[in-house]
Amino acid sequence: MIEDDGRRGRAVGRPRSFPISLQSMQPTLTITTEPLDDLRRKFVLDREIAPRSARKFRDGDDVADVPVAAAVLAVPGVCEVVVAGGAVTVVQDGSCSWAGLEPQVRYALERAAAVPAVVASTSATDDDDEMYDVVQDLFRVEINPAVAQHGGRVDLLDVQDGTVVVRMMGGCQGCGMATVTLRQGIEATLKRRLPAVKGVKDVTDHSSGANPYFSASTK
Amino acid sequence: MRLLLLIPTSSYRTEAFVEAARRLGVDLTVASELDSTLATAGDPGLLTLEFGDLAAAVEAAVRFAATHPLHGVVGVDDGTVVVAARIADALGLPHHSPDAAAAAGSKYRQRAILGQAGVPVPDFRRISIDDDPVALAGSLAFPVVLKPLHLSASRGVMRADSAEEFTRAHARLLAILREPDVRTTDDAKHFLVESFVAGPEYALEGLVVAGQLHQLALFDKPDPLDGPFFEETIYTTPSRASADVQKALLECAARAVAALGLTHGPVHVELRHNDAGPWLVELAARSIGGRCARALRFGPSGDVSLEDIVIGAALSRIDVPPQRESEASGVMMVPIPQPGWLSRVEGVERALAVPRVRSVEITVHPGQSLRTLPEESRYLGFITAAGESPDRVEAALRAAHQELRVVMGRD
Repeated sequence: MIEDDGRRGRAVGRPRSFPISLQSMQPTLTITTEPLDDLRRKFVLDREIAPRSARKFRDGDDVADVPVAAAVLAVPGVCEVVVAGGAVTVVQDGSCSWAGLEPQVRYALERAAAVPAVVASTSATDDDDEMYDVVQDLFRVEINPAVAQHGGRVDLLDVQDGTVVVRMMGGCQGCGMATVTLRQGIEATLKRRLPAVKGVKDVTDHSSGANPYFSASTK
Repeated sequence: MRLLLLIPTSSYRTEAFVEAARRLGVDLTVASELDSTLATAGDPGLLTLEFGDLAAAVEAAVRFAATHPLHGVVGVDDGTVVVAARIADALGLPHHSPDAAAAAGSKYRQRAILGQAGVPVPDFRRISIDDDPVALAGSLAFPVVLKPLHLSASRGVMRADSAEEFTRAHARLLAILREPDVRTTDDAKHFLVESFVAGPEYALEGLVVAGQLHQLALFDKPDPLDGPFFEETIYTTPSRASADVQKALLECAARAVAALGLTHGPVHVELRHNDAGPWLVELAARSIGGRCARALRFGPSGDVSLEDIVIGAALSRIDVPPQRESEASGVMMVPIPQPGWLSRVEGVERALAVPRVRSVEITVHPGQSLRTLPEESRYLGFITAAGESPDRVEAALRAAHQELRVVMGRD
């Protein structure tokens, strides 16, 4: 049982007051989107990540020298990408909803743009409220777009004495590999990005999962 | 120290092994046959290996080990044990040898080797799926058991007491061997027919260290396994068999381990015993499957799990495994009562409240389509219990099972 002590539901954009060591002086990436039609959406970045002359890439093209095109075409459902400076137009094959696809494309763009993660120094705060903000950003930017590929979602519930409390939903709930996602994925990522994290506690009722991505069936 | 753990995405063992590694403070790399969504380039904690392509899997693991040195390899099921053996061999790590693991993983090869070594095994024949079942039935001495070469959890295993029953079972087995997850393997082109051995069945959980078999637990299987299907339900330990029978079972298992050349790692051995003595029914070069390991606790405080022992042995931290806790314990593999889709399971809290019950886990999910034996390979769930005697443990397991109400829909 998690008690409500008012630490959750904080407004977006709450200023961070604890000591943070950024690995780079670059601010986090801002991306705005413009729907063009049902299958096309334009992602406009706050910086240029490719040459300004527009280039179109489709599945199967050689994209070795265009990391951003490679990253976005690797997202399931994307069949074409047009890259020009700081604008990336994504064409999907109609098999996905943009609600599920857009976070994955954003994640791919952020990775391709080599956006530095916000990392607290090892001597940084042990304040749970402040750690919550950072962890929430990591869930939004990195963790949930990744687990969304398997139809999953991980909700951040609380941070208690450096332990991050989560609930796994969708394809993660009841999944036979949920522990691997939790320990080798989420916990490892959080500890890498934020060394003050002591661990992750999963409070999910996995027995109620109705659509796990992987089901146990073999001895 | 870094451990490479090979876990298929369909395994029941994932949580137990991952949490054991965490408890032991071992750096862990989990390898599965499909990508994890959170794997990143250079990530030491996650690896994708093609379990179906041994050469590729070994090459990828060796490449990984060049930048992340490994100190142990564990495969959790029949398939990954063979892969783990090859990887360990390539890296000079302690494990059953590749030949021994492969022999143990093939029911036919296993019986051939054990039979030649004088280990008592049922009479057996390997039959092609193209052989005429009617002609075949005319040559058999009944009762017999039909058995796929490489499936587990008694999937596809059927008893036939007559030619007519044999041809019906034959048709049913061929249908199973044609299922998508089975038909692509070479072993799907043959099956075993062996003589039925009467008598109570037992399961011996062991650890082999430097070629010596250490018994971790000997389970009774109190429900008779006489067919036509061989659905395992209850395991209890310590065994209620006489000291002479227990000694004979352990000696038979040790002979089998030696004959197969198994030298380092877990084994799970199924045996029967009758007036003729012990019989080796099946030997797996891995630890007990499903969630059954939860019934076993080791060490003076009972805080050492079977997975702790398997990992410890893989990392050469264990020469002699700890003793099992002093309490009797057991597990029930809850059977699927009928085909259909699962609506819900009621009564889990009531089952948990039964004295001596330790855990009740339902491992299928609402909405899942289920079959029964011999087509099915999974269980509804697992119940574990512990108490002052195996009789009390068995009673607790049955009482807990009675509290469960399984509500099924229709396909």
